[in-house]
Amino acid sequence: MKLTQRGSIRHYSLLQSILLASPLLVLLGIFYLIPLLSLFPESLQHEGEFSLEHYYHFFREPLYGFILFRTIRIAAYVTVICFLMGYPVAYSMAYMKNRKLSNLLMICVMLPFFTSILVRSYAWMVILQTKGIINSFLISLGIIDRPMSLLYNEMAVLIGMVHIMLPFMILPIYTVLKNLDRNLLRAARNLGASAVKAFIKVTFPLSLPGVGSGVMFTFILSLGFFITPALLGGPKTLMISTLIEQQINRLLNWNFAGAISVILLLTTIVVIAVFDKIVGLDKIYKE
Amino acid sequence: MASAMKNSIIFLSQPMALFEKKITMNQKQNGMAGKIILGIFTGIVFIFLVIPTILVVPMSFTETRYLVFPPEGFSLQWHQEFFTNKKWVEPTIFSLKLASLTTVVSLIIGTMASLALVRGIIPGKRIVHLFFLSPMMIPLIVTAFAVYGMFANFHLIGTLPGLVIAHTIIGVPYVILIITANLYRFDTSLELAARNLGANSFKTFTNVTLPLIKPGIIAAGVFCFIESLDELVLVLFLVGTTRMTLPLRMFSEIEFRIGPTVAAASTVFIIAAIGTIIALSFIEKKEKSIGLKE
Amino acid sequence: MKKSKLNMFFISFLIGFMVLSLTPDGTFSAAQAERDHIVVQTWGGKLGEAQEKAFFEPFTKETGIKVIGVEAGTSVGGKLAAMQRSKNIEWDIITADYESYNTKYYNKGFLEEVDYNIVDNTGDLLPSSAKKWGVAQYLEGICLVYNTNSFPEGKAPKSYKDFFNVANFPGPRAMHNWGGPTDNLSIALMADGLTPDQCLPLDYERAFKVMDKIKPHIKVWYTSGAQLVQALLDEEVVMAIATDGRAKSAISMGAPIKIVWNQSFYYLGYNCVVKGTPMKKEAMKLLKFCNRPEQQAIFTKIIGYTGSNPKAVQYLPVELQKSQSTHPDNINNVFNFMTIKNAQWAVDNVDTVDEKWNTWIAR
Repeated sequence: MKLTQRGSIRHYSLLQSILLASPLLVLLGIFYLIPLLSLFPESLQHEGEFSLEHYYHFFREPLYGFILFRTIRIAAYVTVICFLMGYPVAYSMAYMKNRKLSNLLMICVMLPFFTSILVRSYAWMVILQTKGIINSFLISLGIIDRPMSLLYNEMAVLIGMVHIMLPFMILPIYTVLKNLDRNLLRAARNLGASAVKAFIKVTFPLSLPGVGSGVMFTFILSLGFFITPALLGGPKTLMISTLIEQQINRLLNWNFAGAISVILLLTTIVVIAVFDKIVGLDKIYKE
Repeated sequence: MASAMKNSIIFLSQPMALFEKKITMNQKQNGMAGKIILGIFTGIVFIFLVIPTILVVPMSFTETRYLVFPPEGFSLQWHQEFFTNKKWVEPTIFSLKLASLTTVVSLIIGTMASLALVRGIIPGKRIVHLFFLSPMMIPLIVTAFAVYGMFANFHLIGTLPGLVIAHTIIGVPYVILIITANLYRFDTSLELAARNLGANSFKTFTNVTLPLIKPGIIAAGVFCFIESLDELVLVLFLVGTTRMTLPLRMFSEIEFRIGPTVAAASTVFIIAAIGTIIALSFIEKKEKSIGLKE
Repeated sequence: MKKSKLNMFFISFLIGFMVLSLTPDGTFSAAQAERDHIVVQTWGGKLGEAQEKAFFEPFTKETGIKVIGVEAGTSVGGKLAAMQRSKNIEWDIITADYESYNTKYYNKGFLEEVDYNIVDNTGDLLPSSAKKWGVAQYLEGICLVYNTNSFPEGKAPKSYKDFFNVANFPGPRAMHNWGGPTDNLSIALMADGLTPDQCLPLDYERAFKVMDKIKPHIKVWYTSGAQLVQALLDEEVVMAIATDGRAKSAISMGAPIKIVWNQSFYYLGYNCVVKGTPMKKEAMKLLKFCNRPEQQAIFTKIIGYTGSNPKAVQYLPVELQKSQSTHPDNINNVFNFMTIKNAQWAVDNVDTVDEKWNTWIAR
């Protein structure tokens, strides 16, 4: 009982299509693609001449590889945590029978989206700070007598980032789950599979496009994150984005900053390519 | 993104609801325990999502000069400061202007591009599609740094058009994501019918397509608006020395002084967000009643 | 019918947006190139306020030239570079920055040379105040502070050595991590027995060895003055390497701390004129105005930082005088960090020191 046909009817001719797409193409081409491409030559300049010095510098000093690795690690942690927290939630929402409750929960998931990242990071600063809610609460209960250092460390950054990324993980998974053909699940149950088995063998594999989308977005966005680590982190949570900002604004080493940016850019592209191989980006965009 | 998708889902799942009721009765006995655990877990996650966001609201009414919970006393002074002090009001107005312009431009360009992608012929479509979406995925600081160099050379730093361009670049991906999803979903036989009846492309678009993707446009518009209003990284680089946006003002206040006025600003943000969501659901309800009549 | 109502709603929304967007901007957008007022980059907050009251407003009263203070956030360098690149000079003066950064800016062509024909009253200022590219306005002192509750009279720490001595002086500490770690490392070397003149060029290995001992005990690596003050007020740390202005601020807010003047040193914060500014002459006049002892005293009264003109001390209320680095009692105990031997090394190696510090602190 399909209500729709997939929207693959071509209404516009080649000329019309190109005309329609051209404003965006031009805008992106001039103000986005060209600047990005010009990062490459800028990064290859050292004291006026062409040189790979900045790249050597990056890989020679252990600091930078360390930071890159740490950035990837934190992004991975955030992604995994978001997945573990997000999938069950998306599942409950998708299979909930009470329509009103489901709508309410949807609003709860969307609410963080609509409040700014800055506001949310700030909220966590306030919650985790020495005189913040958690410390005040624990002290008033007598569990601890000196406030704990919950802020300006990696855990604070993780908490903040998970809080911001969760909706990105929940929504794609929810969308895919909601659209699954329920008959498949029913068939499995009727054939004798337990709830768990049906989930593992039927539901989960079918939800993979949503999972792939959520995981990819979460990971990639986490790689480039700047605001939350800047506000919630400490010296031990220096990430690549903060490093780039320092080089640009404080140390004025623009060529080096360019090199770091290129490396970050290439890392991101590699990640996207890997996801494409594994999950297939087509599935995500045609969902 | 999900609102529009949710809309489409609502259209789709109406008949499905009939089937659901039958099944429930058979499955009642099984997996009760599992459901309870799942329910509790979901509840915890939701508390985690929602509470921190709204916690700032009561704290903004504190009498003290620093943030504390529970707030001490009740004072509107920080809200008053936010609404009257020039250093808050001007950036807010500028941010609103920027967001408005960005939204309009993004919606127009983005919808056009989405139409071309879904209903048109474009060579190398997949790559083009990815290219349009890429600003969302490239680390923002890299984009900011790259664009900054070009803007400086073109004297675009600190100008409203420059910032609109920058925000449009990162706003359009949202538009494309949502609108293409919407375009894929709905019944194209309607468009075919219109065409067969003699309407040209443009008329078909305005009379048939546009009303049907309206929820998507609204959702996309809201996303663009919020994205621009909230945007900090691009603005940090591109705003020059004499302009200030609201997030930038909040950021520097947070960095140098953790004071309650930021909490007041945040409160306004949150209330605006809740208001928007409520408004959105009203519009959705109206759309639903119109949509079902087809 | 419902449809058209909704459409009307939308269209009016859209029109409303567009109209809103096209209204002219507020007055804070300073007109470029054609200017009749001076734009000064300040650090905002109390510091900006102090500059406003002590220098900008009186200057305007006397000369009629308007002065506007603009906050820059943390990206002064980036903005300076952008201004030069786009030939759109939006700031005329940058304030209160260290020699190492200013030298970098000057070498990159961002700063004008000071016209000492106009700024001719630098005779009274502390040595090293009158540089090619800027004039010192105030001192930012670095000193040891300790919590008087944890270390009462008689048991108090007296030197940097004590800061690093966790056995005899236990407790969490605070140090800065806001860039320019040369002084942190020099303090480590001084604690290890070196005299100030022996600190530069930095012996990294030795300095980091000392720092390693204290690392687990640093509870707060502050990145802003406000953070430091909060930590002192909350008694989160028992000792800190602090800036004197903030320490005095904390004391006035009730923090139970005391400043140790022994081994204290200072950096001069310079005002510089941005290259290519249309208000060059007027900016120089403002720079000259900032050297006046009476004005500097007003500045100190508000923010706590000592002015670069020792004569300003006499204009202060008596209770504030003793705590000024330039007070006759103190002036021989404190030293300008940039006057130690090989100070130029610090300027030349800003990047490397930063890198080595980041490497150390990141682990």
